Amino acid sequence: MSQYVLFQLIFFAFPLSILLLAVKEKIKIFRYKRTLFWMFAVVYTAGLFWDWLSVRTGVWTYAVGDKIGVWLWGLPVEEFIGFYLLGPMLIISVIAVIFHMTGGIEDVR
Amino acid sequence: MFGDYSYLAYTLLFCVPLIAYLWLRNDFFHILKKRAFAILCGTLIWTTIGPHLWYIAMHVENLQSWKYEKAISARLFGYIYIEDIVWWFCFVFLLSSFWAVSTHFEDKGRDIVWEEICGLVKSFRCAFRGLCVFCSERNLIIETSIAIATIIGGIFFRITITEWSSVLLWIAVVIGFEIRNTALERFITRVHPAKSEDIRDIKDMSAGSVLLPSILALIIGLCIFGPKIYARF
Repeated sequence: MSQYVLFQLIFFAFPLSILLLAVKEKIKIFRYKRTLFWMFAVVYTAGLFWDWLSVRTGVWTYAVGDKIGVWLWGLPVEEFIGFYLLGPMLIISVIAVIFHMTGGIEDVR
Repeated sequence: MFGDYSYLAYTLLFCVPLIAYLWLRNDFFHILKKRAFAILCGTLIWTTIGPHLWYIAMHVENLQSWKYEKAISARLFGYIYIEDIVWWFCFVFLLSSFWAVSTHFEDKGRDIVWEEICGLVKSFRCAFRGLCVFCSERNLIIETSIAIATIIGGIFFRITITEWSSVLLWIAVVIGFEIRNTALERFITRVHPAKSEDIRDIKDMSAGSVLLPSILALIIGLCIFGPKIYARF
């Protein structure tokens, strides 16, 4: 297994457990389909452009050795799955759990 | 472009305008204010975890997934990149603020992003319609003709990029002021058709506000094109 993928699994172990907790506690994150759609639309456009620009202008570089080997616009494919899809999803799961703990969405009306 | 501050600059350039948009909108602010504690808690949790894990990703032997080529030398605790802290803070703060606002509206069956996009498109459509209405005005036709002549002159004399920016800026200023003046005149004539000294003063002041940038544009034009035309003879 690619070490970079392994790292991402370790990286997201804590928030992934939070997401599972959220599912178990019936915090309906996936109910907000339009919010999720727009969030990923921005991440996959502006975020991709940001990443591409950073690589293009030499702000950071990706190591070649430990990757799966599929590159898109100079970015490893793991980036699209791990940080673009899983990252925001897990950040949001933590946020949703905190929102749930500090009062439901219904309170803000 | 920003040297060692590139990472920091990109983070701020991408995140801060969106954060400002969410938090400065009055209707969004009331939602975010009630969610501020939760947003801040989530942001702080991720700002603590994120930079550490990124440090691991970069420095653990055989992993070294990516490397910063341009970063400021200062580190928190001697190893955490300041830029990573700023990135995590800005990104999570933005994401959680968006989540709070968007889910609030989605609960009411509204798609706030789509509504915002539609509103923006509508205001652009109105603005372009305003330009089309204005095309029938005599003064605009005169000013547009002068603008076209200036642009042709700029191409002919091969003016520099700085001179181009000045020329185009002043064309936009003069035409913009003319549009505002015509709109104001039409509005006053509509709501106050009777002649009066006050109305005359208001209309003249509005016309004067077009004359001033026009005179300045003429002076700038002479400064740019004058020496070039003189050199031809």
